[in-house]
Amino acid sequence: MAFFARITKKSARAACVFALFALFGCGQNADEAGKIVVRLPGTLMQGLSTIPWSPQVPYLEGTLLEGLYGYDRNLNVVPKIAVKTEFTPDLKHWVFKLDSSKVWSNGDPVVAEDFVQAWLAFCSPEEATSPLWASFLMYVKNAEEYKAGVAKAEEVGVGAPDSFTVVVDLRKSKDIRPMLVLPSAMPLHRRSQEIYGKNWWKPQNFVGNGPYVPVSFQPDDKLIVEKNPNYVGECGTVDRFEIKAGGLMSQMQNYQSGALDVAHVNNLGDYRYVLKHPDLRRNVREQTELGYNGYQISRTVNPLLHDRRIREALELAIDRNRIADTVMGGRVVPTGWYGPPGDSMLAGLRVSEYNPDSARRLLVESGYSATRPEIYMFAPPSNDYRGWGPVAEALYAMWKEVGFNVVIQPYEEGILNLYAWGTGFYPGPEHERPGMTMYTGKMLWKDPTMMLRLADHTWLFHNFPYGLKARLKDLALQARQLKAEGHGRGSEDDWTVLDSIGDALGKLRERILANEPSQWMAEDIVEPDFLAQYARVRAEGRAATSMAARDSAWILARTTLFDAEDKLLKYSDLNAENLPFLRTLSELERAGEENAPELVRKVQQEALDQAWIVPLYSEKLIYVARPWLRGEVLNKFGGWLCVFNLQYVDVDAQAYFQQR
Amino acid sequence: MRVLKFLLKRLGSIVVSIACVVAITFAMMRVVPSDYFTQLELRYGANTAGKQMLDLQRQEYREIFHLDDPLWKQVGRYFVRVMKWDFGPSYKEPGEAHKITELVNAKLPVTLTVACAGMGIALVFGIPLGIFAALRRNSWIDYTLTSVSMVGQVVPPYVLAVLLTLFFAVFVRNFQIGDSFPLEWLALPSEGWGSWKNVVMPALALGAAPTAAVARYIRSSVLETLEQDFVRTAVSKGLGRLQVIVRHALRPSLIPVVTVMGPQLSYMIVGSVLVEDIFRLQGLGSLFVNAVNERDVPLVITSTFILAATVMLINLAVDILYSVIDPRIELK
Amino acid sequence: MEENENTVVDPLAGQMLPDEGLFGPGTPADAAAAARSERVGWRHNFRVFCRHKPAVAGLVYVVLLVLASFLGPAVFDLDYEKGDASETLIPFSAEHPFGTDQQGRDLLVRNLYAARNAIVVAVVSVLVGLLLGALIGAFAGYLGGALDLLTMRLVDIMFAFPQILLLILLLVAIPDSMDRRISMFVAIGLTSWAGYARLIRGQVMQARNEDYVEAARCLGASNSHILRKYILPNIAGPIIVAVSFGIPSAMMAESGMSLIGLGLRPPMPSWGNLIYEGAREMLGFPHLVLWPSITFGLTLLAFTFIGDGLGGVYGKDR
Repeated sequence: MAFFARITKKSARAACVFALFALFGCGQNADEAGKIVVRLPGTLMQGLSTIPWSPQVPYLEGTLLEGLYGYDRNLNVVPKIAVKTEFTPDLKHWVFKLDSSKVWSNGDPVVAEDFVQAWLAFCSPEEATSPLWASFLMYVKNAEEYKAGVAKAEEVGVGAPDSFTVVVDLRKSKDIRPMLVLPSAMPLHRRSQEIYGKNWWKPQNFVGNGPYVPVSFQPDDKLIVEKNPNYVGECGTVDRFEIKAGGLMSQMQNYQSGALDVAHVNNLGDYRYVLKHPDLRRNVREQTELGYNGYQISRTVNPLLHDRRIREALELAIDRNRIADTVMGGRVVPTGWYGPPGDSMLAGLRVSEYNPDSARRLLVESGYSATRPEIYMFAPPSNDYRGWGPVAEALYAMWKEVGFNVVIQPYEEGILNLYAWGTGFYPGPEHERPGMTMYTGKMLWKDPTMMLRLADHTWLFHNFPYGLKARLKDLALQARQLKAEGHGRGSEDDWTVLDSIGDALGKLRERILANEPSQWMAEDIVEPDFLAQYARVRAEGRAATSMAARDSAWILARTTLFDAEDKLLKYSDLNAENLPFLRTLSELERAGEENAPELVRKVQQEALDQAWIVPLYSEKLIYVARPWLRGEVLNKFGGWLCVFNLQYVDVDAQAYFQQR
Repeated sequence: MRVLKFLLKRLGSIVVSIACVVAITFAMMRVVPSDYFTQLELRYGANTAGKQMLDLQRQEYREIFHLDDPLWKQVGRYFVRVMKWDFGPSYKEPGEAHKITELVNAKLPVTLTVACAGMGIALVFGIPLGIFAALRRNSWIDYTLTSVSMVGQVVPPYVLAVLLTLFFAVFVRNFQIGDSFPLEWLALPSEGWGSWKNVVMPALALGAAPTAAVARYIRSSVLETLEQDFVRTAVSKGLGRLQVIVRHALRPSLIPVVTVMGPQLSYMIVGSVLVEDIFRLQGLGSLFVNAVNERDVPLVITSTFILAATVMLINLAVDILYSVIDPRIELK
Repeated sequence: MEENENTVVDPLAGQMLPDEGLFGPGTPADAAAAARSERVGWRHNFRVFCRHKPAVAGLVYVVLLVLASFLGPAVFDLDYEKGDASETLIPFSAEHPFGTDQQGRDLLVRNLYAARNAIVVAVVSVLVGLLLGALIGAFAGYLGGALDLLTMRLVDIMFAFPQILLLILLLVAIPDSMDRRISMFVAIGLTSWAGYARLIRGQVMQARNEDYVEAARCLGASNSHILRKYILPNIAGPIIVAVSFGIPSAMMAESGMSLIGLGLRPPMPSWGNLIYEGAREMLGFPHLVLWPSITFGLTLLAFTFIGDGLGGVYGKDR
């Protein structure tokens, strides 16, 4: 040991030169006397903008900014700035009255215009990449059109009749309250927006209305927030939070060395270590996640897995207990439905049990055993931190046992996500291979439909006859080609061709609408009205004088029709299995909180029986925290595990000062 | 004058080589099966609004990044920009004109510091070890040192990184000697960049191979020097061997070490690609890997460019340094 | 892994080879003599090689490893992907000396398969690189002139391109539908040919100027005949040395790519995968990462020792 001490001392001296430049970094660590500082682990953040759907989201929701609604300690959605909310029975027209006592960190009052301007900026055509799907604006009248450049800002259905009233008009019925907690719904300080533009979120420019304001931010590294002295509302005793991004792997070491006050245990090795270590064991805390982990059939045109028997066989071959107890070492709990096993809303659903014999039988029945074609499991690479690699390998072994021919294909994170979440077909080899991707179904926000969004999307993507899927892929290819080659179009003949396609599609739509009993469904099909849009583009194109304008108008018109065809074909091809499902789903979207549970159960059961997405386990959220830390709320939404809504975090001051 | 000519010649060949490296990277990123736009299309291409947006974006990208230009033009334009130390925007944030420059300015120091710290370790440990081994030539100490340095040189830095962490984090701590041990030095940096303690572990892992190389180099050159006449004379005059070495033999032996530094520094800089992920360092290596994963072409090009250029410039600098130290060496 | 690029071919790094202290004096290769009396040469060479104790130890280790990893699984019917769910994460037992992993798979077996994959990938990709390099280098060296100039420029550019970066770019550009091992062969081959080309060109140029080659040319022997009969046998030594250093370098390349998800497909084990997956569970289960790191390190060491031994045999003037 003495030997090592000597070496490190020597190397320390040698490293003096390098240390010099970093000294100011160390100076920061010295706490001012009497201040309570809590150091938390976080994920790598690029910035604090409200636009991108990336790891800063949990800190914007309620900590740095405060919206009309927010989360309470138990993650229920509760009003924050909204003191009174009124809505029409069809959930299409909403009026919010604001709390007039709320102010920005510089003392300005928070007014309705702050909301409306921030929202309009979010869906403006200049913010090309803002994720409308993660915003209530998706349901707002003319918001999508504004973003696409076909409607004006004044036409968007949001408004501020006076300084403390916000009005929202929706194009579809929807209970938007759960989505008002998201960063996209936050107000922004107007003056600093004007002055600093895109740099408004930099700590030196930041004007917020949340309980904490950022004082320092280094991308991919560290965010320091301090108490907002002007905040009106409940807030804990912590003066400063230091949120440090870093590897999940290293949290335990940093907790032990005192660099962190909370450390998430997210692998088996750490879990075993914590349980064996007497000091750490005392401070272990545990919660359960709101979602589940599993696999989903990937987006492919290959018809193999359209055979429900094969999908069922895949599921029957899986021993969930073995995955939970041995592969994940008790760190997760097995679940048969799309949610944690203890979810009372889902209790009593029929779930499939481990039964390799019936799996084998189904394989013979379906004819798979005769040819044994390859099935691809798209898995993350070995540096994945969720432990999906070992799970994929366990699934591989269990499937092989009953006679499947499986290949594991690792992909980098980004590409894997696209295969799991992408919305289109992709003309590559992966989309001709039958297979599945590892998958996590997490609620992104507290919405009853969320759990189903996670269960339905592959199903609805896939459950079409093969012929239609091929046609859809063909359409997608044609659309791509058009973009590449569609120059010099826009002659009279070209438009005639389009007109006839438009007519045919229009008739198809009429026919569908005449037979559709569900008003909700019909609403989805009518809107947005592609024929009106087509007519408008057509008129523009014919009036255009320049070649380029004619050209682009024609391409736009053609793309519109491609999309409509895509949508109508999908609908007209829905079958007895998934049409009722889609109707229930569309009903659920509009259902108030009271009706939701029954509908959720109904849809879940249908989705479970189809086995397009198969849940395997829910994670326990295990972490160690200093004994003096209290009231921490874990972010269970999205993929960013961290402590959020920092205003609820409290500290036992006596114990804190004793230990520090 | 001769020096100037040498410099111009070398710089010229560096520029040509880098131009080729950049051109190759451009070409490779063109043939990658799923490029940035196919990824975007998968993400947003579901509805009309998304598609229109994509079209707009594609058009915009064509203009900003001159995607329709032939390869030579792109490379040429890139070089014009590089002259101004302006790498333009990345695919991810086409609006921010100096995004990549900011990234490079933030990440280059990280990689360089770790590499320099590694070099420091190599010199501080390598030189004494080498002298020691030479003095005790063919003894068991010599053999041990040579073998250990062999291990350091052969085992790749990421394996060393894992083993070092394993050793300190698991064994040292489990045997309860860890209480007095400055653990925070060895913690993988969740603290992120900023504290010099975070340099220690990556520098140790990356510095092992250079240490070994320096030690072997010093050993053989000290041995060589010991054979020379002036040293023999000194010894025969009755000076102690160590004294002789320090007074007479060390200086000439140190000169060739400079030649080792070049390749070793470049090894550590490029090695950062594999090591930074393990230590969660936000340097050029992780920038490159992430850029490749996201198919962010401008970022890939620039990180390749910076890594390659740094390596070449270091080699040039070492050659110059060499001739400064030992004037007998001619620059050519 | 790029440092091995250097140890193989870089004239600077070439001097980093161990000197006589530990490894005994090397005999300067009398290439012409070796060609004339091949048999005597081999026996003599082997004796010289055996004087390097570490090289012999390395050779023994490699031979044992090859036997164990290629024959072992076949003879004892070992399976790298089938686990026993009742025996997971055992650190050590008589049945599983290296312990088992999360799936209950025996780590000794997985290490053996990892060794096999590493050896196959390394040997084949070095051969690919050598073949490319030999073709290009031999023609450049023998024909000389503009072709030579052009080739050497190309080689310089390849050296300027950091090998890891090129390797990553290549592996990303090769379609996934290809077997990962094959893409490894191609990618590593394409990134390592330049070293061999430069080496072989130098040797060929040297040999070309030898008297007996001049004589043969005067007698009207064709170019390919001269290359085959007189030049190739003479440069075999340095090539063997270069290959023996190229193998550990290719192994490192292969395992390094696993770190960033471009390695072999699981459940097929590779050292990179084993080490990285083990590192994640390191705090609780150190055996997962310990054994693969040690076996991998030893293998690299063994190949390098062999390379050193061969370097001694064929002289360092390479």
